[in-house]
Amino acid sequence: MIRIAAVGDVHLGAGGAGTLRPRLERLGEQADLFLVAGDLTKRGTKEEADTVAGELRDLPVPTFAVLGNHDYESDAAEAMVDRLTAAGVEVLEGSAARCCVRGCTVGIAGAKGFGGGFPGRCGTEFGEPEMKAFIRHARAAADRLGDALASLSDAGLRVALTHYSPVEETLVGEPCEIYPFLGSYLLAEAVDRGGAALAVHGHAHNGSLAGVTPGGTPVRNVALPVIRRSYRLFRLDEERLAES
Amino acid sequence: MSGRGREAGEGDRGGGDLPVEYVVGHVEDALARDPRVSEQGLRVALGAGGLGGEAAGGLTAGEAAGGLVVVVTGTVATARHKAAITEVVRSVVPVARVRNETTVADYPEPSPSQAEELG
Repeated sequence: MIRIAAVGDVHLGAGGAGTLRPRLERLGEQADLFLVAGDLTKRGTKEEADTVAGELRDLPVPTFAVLGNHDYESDAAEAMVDRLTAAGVEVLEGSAARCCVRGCTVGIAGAKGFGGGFPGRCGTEFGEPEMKAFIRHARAAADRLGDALASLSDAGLRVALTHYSPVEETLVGEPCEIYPFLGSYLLAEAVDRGGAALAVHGHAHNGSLAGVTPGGTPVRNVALPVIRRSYRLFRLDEERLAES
Repeated sequence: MSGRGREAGEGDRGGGDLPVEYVVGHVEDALARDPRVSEQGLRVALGAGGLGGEAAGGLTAGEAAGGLVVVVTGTVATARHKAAITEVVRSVVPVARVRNETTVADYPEPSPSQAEELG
C-alpha cells in the first residue's frame, strides 16, 4: 500500500508564514510521499518563495512539486526552484524523480502543463504567431510530461503531477468557457501513454475532485478550495501496484 | 475608471464613464492583477438588491451610481485579502456599492479515515 498526500494552490502570500506548516503536522504519520500541484505562491516573488520554502522545509516525507502559473508571475521561477530545492522539495518540470516505499519504487513525473482545451473545443496551432505560441507551449508541456513518464519504465508505480488539468471532468464547476485556459487533453494522452496509475493536478479552484483519462487513469484535482483540507490522502493498493 | 490605473488592468476613463456591461470584466482583471489580491478564481457579478444585472443595461456606472452593486464571491486565504478585494473593486468603480461575500479559507488537516482508496 502506497500512501500519497497531495495538495495544490496553497497560494502563500507575503504574510503566509506559519499558516501552512501547522497543518502538515501529521503528514509523516499519514503519508509516504507528498505532492504539491503548483501555485505555491500568489505572485511568484522571491519573498513568497522564501515563505513557501520555509513552510515546506525538511518535511518528514519525500516532497515533490511542480510550479503553477502564479509562480511564474514575477519572472522569478528559477529563484523559486532554488529556494524550494534548498528546503528539500524536489521541483519537477519535464523531469522525473523516484522514491522507495517499502520496497516499491514510486516514480513521479512532473510538469506544469498548460491550457489549450479538450477535443471539440480546443485551440490549434494555426493563425497568428501568438495563437501558435500558445498551443506550442501546451504541446511542449505535454511532451515534457510524456518524456518524464517514459523515463520511469523501471518504477513499480508511476504518478503524473501537473498544475493544469488533463481532463474536463475535474473542471466541472468552472465556467465551461474557460476550460481552454485550465487544461489540455494532450496531458491526458501523455498520462495514458506513460502508464501512470494516478494523475494529480490543481489550478481549477471551482472544479471537481475526480475524473478519469480516456485510458482509465484516475485523475484528482487537489486544488485547496476543492479538497478543503490541507492535503488529500490517497492509498494505492497492491493490486494496482501489480498492474503498473 | 480611477485608482490604480493600467497596473491593475484598468482603462483611462473615470469610473463613472464605464458602461456597466464592462464592470465585471474590469473588476475581474483588477482582482487578478492587483498584488493585494492576485486571485483569478473569484466570481464577480452585478448584484440584485440594487441596480444590477439587466436593470443597469445601457447605463454607465456613473448613471447607475447609488444603485450599482458589485458582488464578489469565492474563497480567499486571509482576512487581509478579503478586505483588499473591497478596496480593489472600489478603485475600479468608486461609484459602486461592493458586496464582498468572499469567505476566508480554513482548511484543517485530514484524518486517516478520509483517505481515498484507489486501485
